[in-house]
Amino acid sequence: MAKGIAIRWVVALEPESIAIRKKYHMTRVFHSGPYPVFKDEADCHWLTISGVGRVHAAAATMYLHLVSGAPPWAGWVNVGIAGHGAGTYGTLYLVDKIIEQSTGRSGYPGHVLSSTLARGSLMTVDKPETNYRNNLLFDMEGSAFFEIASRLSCQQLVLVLKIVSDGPNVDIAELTKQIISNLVSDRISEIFNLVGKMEMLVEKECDRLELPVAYYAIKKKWYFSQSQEYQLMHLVKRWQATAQNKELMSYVGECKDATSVVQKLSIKLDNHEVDWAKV
Amino acid sequence: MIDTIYIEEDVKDHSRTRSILDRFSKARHISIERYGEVFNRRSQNFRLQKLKPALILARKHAGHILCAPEGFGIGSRKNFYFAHMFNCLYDCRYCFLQGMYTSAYYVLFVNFESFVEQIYNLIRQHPNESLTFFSGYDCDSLALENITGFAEYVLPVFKKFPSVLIEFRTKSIQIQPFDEIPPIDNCVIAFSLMPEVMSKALDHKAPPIKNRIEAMKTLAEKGWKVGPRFDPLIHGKNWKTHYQELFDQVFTTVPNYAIHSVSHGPLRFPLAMFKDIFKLYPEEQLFSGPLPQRDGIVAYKSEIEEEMTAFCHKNFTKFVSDTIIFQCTPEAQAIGRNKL
Repeated sequence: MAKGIAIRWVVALEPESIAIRKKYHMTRVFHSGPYPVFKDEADCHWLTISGVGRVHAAAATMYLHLVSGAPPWAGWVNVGIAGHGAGTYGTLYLVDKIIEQSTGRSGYPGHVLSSTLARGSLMTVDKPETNYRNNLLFDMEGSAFFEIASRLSCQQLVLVLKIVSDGPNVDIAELTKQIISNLVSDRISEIFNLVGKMEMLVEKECDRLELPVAYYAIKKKWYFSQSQEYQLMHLVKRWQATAQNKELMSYVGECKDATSVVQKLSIKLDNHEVDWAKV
Repeated sequence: MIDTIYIEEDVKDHSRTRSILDRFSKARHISIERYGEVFNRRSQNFRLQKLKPALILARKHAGHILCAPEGFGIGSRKNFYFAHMFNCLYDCRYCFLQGMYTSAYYVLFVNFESFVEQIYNLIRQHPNESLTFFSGYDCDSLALENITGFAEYVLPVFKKFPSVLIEFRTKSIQIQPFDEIPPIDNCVIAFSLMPEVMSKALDHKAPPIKNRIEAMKTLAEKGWKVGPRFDPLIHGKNWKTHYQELFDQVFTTVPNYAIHSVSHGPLRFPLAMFKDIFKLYPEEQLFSGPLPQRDGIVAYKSEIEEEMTAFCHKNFTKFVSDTIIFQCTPEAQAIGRNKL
């Protein structure tokens, strides 16, 4: 796996997934679960097809999280078609406000990526909506996806992307699989660019959250109680921050037990003076 | 660059909202009911938000002015603080805001008139007492002044009450409001300072120390009172040399007659806040050194704190009178929590 990169895709319809699967060379993961799952060769990008509606979107998001072993720094992306009263057919929107029609609740995906994409507010409805109003996008999954995905990661690593497929001048009933597939395919390079930027953030978050290899190596060698484990984790992170000129494992290698590991590291770090001139 | 502005419905027609929105005409405007819908929500990532903070325009409904924590002050009997904003343009690694909020968005309370009303009330309630109001506790007082115009708005209020002190705490070198009006004796523009080598590593996005010192000098020469603030004191290799150089630079550059007060304070975090900050920035050198916990506070060892305090005091007295040196050691738990 490319270090740290973890992107999880959730789409409602199979035709929405085609261009994405092709772009990332994803193949189907064989399992007997409720939602089809695909992944790329490097295990970085995983995708599921939820089906229509909030319940499926929430369930499939959680399912993908479990099946793919998504880390807490994973980026989550929902791509799908949406209705819009004024938006041009085929326009890709980066959603920054989601209103759930049934509850009246709002969510605010607060992305931090630079993008020239059009931005819009999305209303998630429970039945197909043809009363296109208030300059809103309409879909049937966005709010549920956002709510679950931002709990699994963080709001800044959740993207909701909608492509205008229907509106006052384009009848929703005329949408075919091919049309939907083409809508996504036509926008795939913009989606790819944006997700590429998110991959960089994901890598940074991985660096922040992932525990160093040395931590696991030390834990394997000695038995640590739960509180000692916590102390060790804190000490290992501090050790890394000090950019010590020594390899951690060899520094504690002679210790006889977990207590002496914690003690030895504590003494070393508590006497560490930062040389600000060299930071 | 702010490219998203969330606007509370309640203030969308406020004149200050309109003028700010005019300035950011290309920004995306998103309507919200209350700022709490967006700010400080669960599942937000302060560190990532800091990459591109949005602006939230809101109304402050209560708690406009708060009591300053015990141990915080520059000589007055009663000390208050207020924050017309939450969060800051800068990204200083020791800042308690990164542990206090889960959100890095700037919240600007546009109803300045309510702050002023509360200030008037407090002044009336304490007619014969010396009062100090501190601006810049949950934000930098002046960093976004060109957008907010807050200092410009409140300065005339304090001009009417010469016995009441107002301190603007800042790292900003943008000094327009003070450039354009005659000095007010009861106003102190206080600059947070630390040795350049430390500032370079810790004061991200903030102006260099030498520029802050120059800004102090400029203000002093215009007749304003200034206050060097060495808070927090940062420990490390050769800290005495670094601080000595800084003190020499400050006190030989800034005219002595303009120095209202000098203060210093230790680096302290409530334990829970420290844990959050450490989680956000585990690679930060500042947190790698000796910062033990005692009584729920994470700070340098007492011996280090005491040595640094004594060193500062001894050196300050070479330049200024003992009577204008203050040690600020507020109970760290009280930060941002003291209601009137």
